[in-house]
Amino acid sequence: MLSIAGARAVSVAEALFQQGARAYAEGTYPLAAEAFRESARLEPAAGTLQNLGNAEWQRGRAGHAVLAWEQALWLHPFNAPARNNLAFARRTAYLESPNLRWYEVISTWLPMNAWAWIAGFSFWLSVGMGVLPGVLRWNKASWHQLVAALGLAVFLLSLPAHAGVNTRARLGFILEKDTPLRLTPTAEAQVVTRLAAGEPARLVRERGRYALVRTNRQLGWIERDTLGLLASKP
Amino acid sequence: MVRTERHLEVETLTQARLAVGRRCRFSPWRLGLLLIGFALAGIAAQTRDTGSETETETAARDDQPPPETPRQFINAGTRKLHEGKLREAEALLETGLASQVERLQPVALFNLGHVRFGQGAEELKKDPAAASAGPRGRAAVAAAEAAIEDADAALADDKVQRLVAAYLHGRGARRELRAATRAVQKAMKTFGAALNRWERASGDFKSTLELNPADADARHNAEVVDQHIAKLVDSLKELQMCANALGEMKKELGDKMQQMKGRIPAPDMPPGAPGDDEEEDEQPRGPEPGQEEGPTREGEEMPISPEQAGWLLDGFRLDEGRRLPMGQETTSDPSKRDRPTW
Repeated sequence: MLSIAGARAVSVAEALFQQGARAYAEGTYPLAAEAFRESARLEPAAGTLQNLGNAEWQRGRAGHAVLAWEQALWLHPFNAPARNNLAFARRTAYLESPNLRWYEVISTWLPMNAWAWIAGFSFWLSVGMGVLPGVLRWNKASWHQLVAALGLAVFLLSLPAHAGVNTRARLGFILEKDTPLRLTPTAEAQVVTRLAAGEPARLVRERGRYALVRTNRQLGWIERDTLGLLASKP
Repeated sequence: MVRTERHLEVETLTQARLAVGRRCRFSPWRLGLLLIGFALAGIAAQTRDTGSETETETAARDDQPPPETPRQFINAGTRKLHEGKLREAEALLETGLASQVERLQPVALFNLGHVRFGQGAEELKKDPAAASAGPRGRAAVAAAEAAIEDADAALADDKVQRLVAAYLHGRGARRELRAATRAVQKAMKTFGAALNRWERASGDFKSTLELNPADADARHNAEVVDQHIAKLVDSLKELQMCANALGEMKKELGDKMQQMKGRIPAPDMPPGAPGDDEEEDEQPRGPEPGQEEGPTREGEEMPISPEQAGWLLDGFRLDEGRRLPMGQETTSDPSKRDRPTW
């Protein structure tokens, strides 16, 4: 049942993708963006997100475009077109890139799911090489220990990347232009500054309909709807 | 009047929270230590000179170490508020608020509201003549109306002496109009600055209320500030109308005086003091010293042809026509979604 439902979702996502591609080619960018967004919601894919970013950019919604391209890179870091478009958009709109910590930079080297596979495989390989020879009464060989040690080392080395994936999940981008950054989470709050669409911001915590975010320079509150998280469905 | 009792309450709260905060649960050990602390403090107080505060003590209090924690910033800001140093108080409270410690925010916002209300009141105090600008403006308008009537009558009569008298009358009225206009503009600036501060104060009290809906003092203060704002807005509207009326009168009176000037023969024209004539408003003797336009950086104008100007403008034109390169068209097939492979 689940596989049937999954297959149906994939076919619908495919149809929506094609519809979006046609609309994009015709120049009806709002329609294209909606189709790509719906397709990506049903089945997140780097290509769909990249096209969603293009359609949003053509609509003049820089914040949504930057988010979509970043999400494309989150799923598939080797997506050069998305990376190039992101660089172009940042240069054109004078936007900053997010300040990543060293372990977050490591986490960008591979797709986020790859780290889970690597960690899982290396961990169980290490455990297997340590335990199985004894259980299966194999003759102890030095290569068993070598592989176990290697597996453990890879597992340990992948841990910072996991931390990076975890903290990057709280990274977001401002969706609307001139979003007020408030001093307090209140409607009548003092506005500290206004943030440009596409500016990076880290979610610190939420209170009601406001989110406390840390930008590259300041800490303040914005309305939750105006922040698009990297690790959220479009 | 804005309730100010809260200042004391704020101090009590911020200081008391460290020792007897409602959220603290005291274990017997903690309570014992606290009692010992109180006893030691009592002994210290007994041994200390209980006389009035000396200058040395005041200086020592001023030399307190700079605040480091959000609580210290807010307490320092509250102290400055009591001392009437509003600008410093605002900076300190804002710093405390910006640290985003949620339980301190209502207190900081409440006091910030007081600071900004005080700043608005200070703006009004700086210009005591602002309150009389409206009546002065109305009086100037009335005088100008009388001068215009006089001018109409003189123009109809067409007697030189009458025209000269009306012209002099108009000149006096116009001088008063100018002075009243300046006063009204200054008052509007003052009221605008005060309004700006009070609107922020109202926002602060309302924010306090939003964070702590049970805060009756904040509700009361927000209402009081809003009432003050409403009065100030009424005054500003009145001043705006007055400024408009002054402008109209000035124009009308200027036209009449121009007509009278045309009818009065040159020998009978009354001598005027500098600034009496309308034309002299626009600095007839050229710019004042210090207002002259400096030479260009290069020293001389560069003569260029229209074609050259066109090329230059083309060079400065923003690249609004640039489109985002559709990257996937060059490096991958756009008709395929590349799905995550993991």
